[in-house]
Amino acid sequence: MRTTAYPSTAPATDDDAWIQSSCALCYGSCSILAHRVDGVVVKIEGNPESAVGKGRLCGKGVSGLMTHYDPHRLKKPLRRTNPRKGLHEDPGWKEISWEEALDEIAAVLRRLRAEDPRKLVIQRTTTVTASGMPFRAFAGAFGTPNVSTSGGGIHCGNGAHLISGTMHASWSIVPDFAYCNYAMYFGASKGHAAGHASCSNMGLAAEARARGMKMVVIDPMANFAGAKATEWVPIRVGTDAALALAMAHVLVRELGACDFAYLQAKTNGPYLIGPDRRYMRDSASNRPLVWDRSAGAARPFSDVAATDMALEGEYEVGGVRCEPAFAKLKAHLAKFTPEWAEGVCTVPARDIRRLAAEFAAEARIGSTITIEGVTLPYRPVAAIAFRGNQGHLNSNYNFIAVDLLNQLVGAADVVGACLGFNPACAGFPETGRLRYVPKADADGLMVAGMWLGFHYPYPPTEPRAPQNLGLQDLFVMGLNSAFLNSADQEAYWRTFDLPYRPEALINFGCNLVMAIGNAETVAQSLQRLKFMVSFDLFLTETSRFADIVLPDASYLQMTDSRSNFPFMFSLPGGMGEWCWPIRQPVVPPDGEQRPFADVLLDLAERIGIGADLNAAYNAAMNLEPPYRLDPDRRYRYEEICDADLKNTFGPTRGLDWFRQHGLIKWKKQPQEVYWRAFVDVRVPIYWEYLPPVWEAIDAICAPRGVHVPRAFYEPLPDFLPCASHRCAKPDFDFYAFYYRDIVHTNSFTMENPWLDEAARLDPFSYAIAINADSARRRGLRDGAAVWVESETGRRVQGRLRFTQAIHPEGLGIAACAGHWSDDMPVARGKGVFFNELLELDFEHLSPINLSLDLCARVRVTLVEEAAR
Amino acid sequence: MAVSDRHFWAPAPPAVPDADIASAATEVRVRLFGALAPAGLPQPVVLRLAPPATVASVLASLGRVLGPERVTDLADTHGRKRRTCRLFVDGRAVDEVETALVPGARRTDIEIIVLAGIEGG
Repeated sequence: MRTTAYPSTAPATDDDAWIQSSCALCYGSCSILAHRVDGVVVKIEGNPESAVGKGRLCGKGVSGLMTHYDPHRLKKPLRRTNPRKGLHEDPGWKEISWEEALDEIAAVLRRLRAEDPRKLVIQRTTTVTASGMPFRAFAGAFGTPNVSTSGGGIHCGNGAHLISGTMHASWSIVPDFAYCNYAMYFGASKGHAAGHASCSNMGLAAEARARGMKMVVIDPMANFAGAKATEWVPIRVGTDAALALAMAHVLVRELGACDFAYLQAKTNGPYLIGPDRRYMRDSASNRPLVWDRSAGAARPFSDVAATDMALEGEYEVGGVRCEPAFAKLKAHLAKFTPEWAEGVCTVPARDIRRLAAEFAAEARIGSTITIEGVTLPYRPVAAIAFRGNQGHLNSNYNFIAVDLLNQLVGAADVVGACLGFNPACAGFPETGRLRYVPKADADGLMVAGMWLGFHYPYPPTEPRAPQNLGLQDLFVMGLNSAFLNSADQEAYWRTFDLPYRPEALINFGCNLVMAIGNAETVAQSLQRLKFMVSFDLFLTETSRFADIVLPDASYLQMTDSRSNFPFMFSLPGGMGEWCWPIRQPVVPPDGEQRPFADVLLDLAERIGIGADLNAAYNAAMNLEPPYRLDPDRRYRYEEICDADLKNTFGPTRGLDWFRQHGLIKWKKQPQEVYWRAFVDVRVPIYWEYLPPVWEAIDAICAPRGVHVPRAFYEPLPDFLPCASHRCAKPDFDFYAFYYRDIVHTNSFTMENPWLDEAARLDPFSYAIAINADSARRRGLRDGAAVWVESETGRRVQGRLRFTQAIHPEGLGIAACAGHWSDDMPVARGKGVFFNELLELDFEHLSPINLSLDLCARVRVTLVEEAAR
Repeated sequence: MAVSDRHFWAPAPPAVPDADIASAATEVRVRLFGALAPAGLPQPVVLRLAPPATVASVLASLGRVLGPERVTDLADTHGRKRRTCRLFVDGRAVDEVETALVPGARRTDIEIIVLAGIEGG
């Protein structure tokens, strides 16, 4: 373990200090050094001592002080005087005291808790990762299951997280940059200034490219990752599964390029599948059967050496014909020929075969490498995917199909391969705490050792008639849900006899009306609430719907023991160091600003749930004796952070120690990073448990007249079209899609003047990217003002920017731009509000994981023509 | 697969209970929080469990106290504890319902709270 002492937090005047803390301009939460001179933050840099960011900081991070010093920062609580709520209603804000504000909020919450605590909804932005713990604890203490992370929630990774969790025991996946030689990116930008571990990955990806790693980016647009790629493969929006399945076809059926030893030992490929598409099971142990080639008989998988397990062939067990799951997969892949895929995804069949052959050759199946004296499998290829791949109706299969490529060649959590972000940790050496590792369930399938919430990706929860507003307890493969704001929410709640309705919303920093779908639908859902309170840095389009707005402290004004979620979120994968940084105040709050976590503790006392909140912190932070909070004592949030740190790092390393040192770190071991070789778990290449999940859901839905398509719950992946692929309206010949602009986070950084300037210098941030040849053929001009209209008649206006770096059918729109509120004068009127094109209803949600379909078939019309 | 050090992640062997105390009954004091603790519920809920007492027997007994509606927040229809149900036995988190309570312990303290399952980011 190594630490470096920086000057501790000093008096806020007459000083010159560099304070170690954590960024909060995006959920990456990289470690920072904030330079304070005479009580003023004058510069923010990356912290080179930390593995979270590795001393790098992106444009958003260095611009953070402009958000902190925004002249429109709220300094007093506000109460609306205008009872009418609407997108363009002036709330008539009136300043009130904290006492008045908290008394009023507590009165509402006390009533709700007595009636039915589920009437409270909590939405929080993803931007402040550290807000997860306090709001999770508050929701648990209050007794509501209705929480959502909406600031990026719907645009976040419902499919990516669950499949990454099932296959890699992690929130997301990334190439093992230090050793990977060939990385395929499907709608992902890992290592290119956005997303989890963003700044760390930026450096790692740059070094990998310099070393010679070939990077193939499959994306409708060559922007952040594509621009740095060895090869950009333009693809029709939302068709990734078609390409990946065709590549799998080539690997399995044309090249025979599979890591059969891996498939035998680490997947359910050998499990025998009966005619009912379920596992054949041992009658005594109920364990899945495999065919033991040595014994010439079917035996429980746990009783057979992996090398003896059959992957192909047809067998008879107890008079029932059956085949190994791999044989089923091989047969299933027959129809996904490159020629078929070309017609769907537009990638030429010859390129599909070439890419598959390159992937297979670079995988070096069967090879090993020695890292720090430990001999390990070496598969220096990775196929990764993220938001662009899975933000579609076909979310689940799009992601499964891409990861299947890794599984086929054994490139999963071994050297050079596709890695989860730190799925296994042996714990801090001095205490052994925070030890976690994936484990096998009774079927031998992997259960993640750590997860960001308690909705684990596998095994799936048993579906039930929904009690949650988001219906995730029915659609159990879903995470965040559009039903909290959808147009058809009431119809579904009535259909399922939901015994309550939402009455109050606590919003933490989300600009919901911009972040989810079209503004009108979200606004209507907010208007239906009886009470809304919003923690904000400054007023937004959404805070206009609040009854009370609370002035939050900024990330430079607060403490948090978990500025990063340990360790599968912000810490980079691969060899290196474990690292736990904290957030600490660089300057005090201004005016009456208060850190949200302390406000929640205060509110809990006023509501009478102080003991519940302490118990919830114990549960959420996994505090153990002697650091468990006494339910009957009142704590400040700093005391809770102190207990959290001592609980993991021992009695001498509490908050005071971390204030001095900023972070703690220790070396990773090969057995942790490349855990897959050491842990006896399997992952599904045949998703046997999905049809029963559908059956359970259908048993609840069908009697109520709700049709849930079975095709989304099949054991083997398929290509299923988005609504946009089915549009047959004339002139609707473009697929509009959203992409994350790396200089912006959700909608909130639009108000930062430095980032606004950077975005104005970028030709695409505030424009509509269109293929130059396609545009010219339609008589469109570079720079022309156009209307972009969806097939349902929703439309947005913007200016075209011609480029060759976009698919001929694509229309790329960056970020959550297009603000209209007077409260955000820097952001107002800039860029294009893509989300306005999105419908927010069940028809546009993935019926398996509730992922909102983020593409829209559109017509592009010159504004001048439309005016005529 | 060619690897060395296969025992790196091996779990510690379970403790062997003392045969003399393994047959004694266990008094369990359960404190419920959040949605599980409606106003008016006497706390803690005191249970006296015959051996071999496990977390599963605690959940089953609690079901009789709390009623069928609330118990669905603790466990599914197969009796498996829900992930969202966070249960601590003498301050230590327990996930497996088969986990035995300390045999013969004069008193075991259990805290239970249900947390929201969903996260994002």
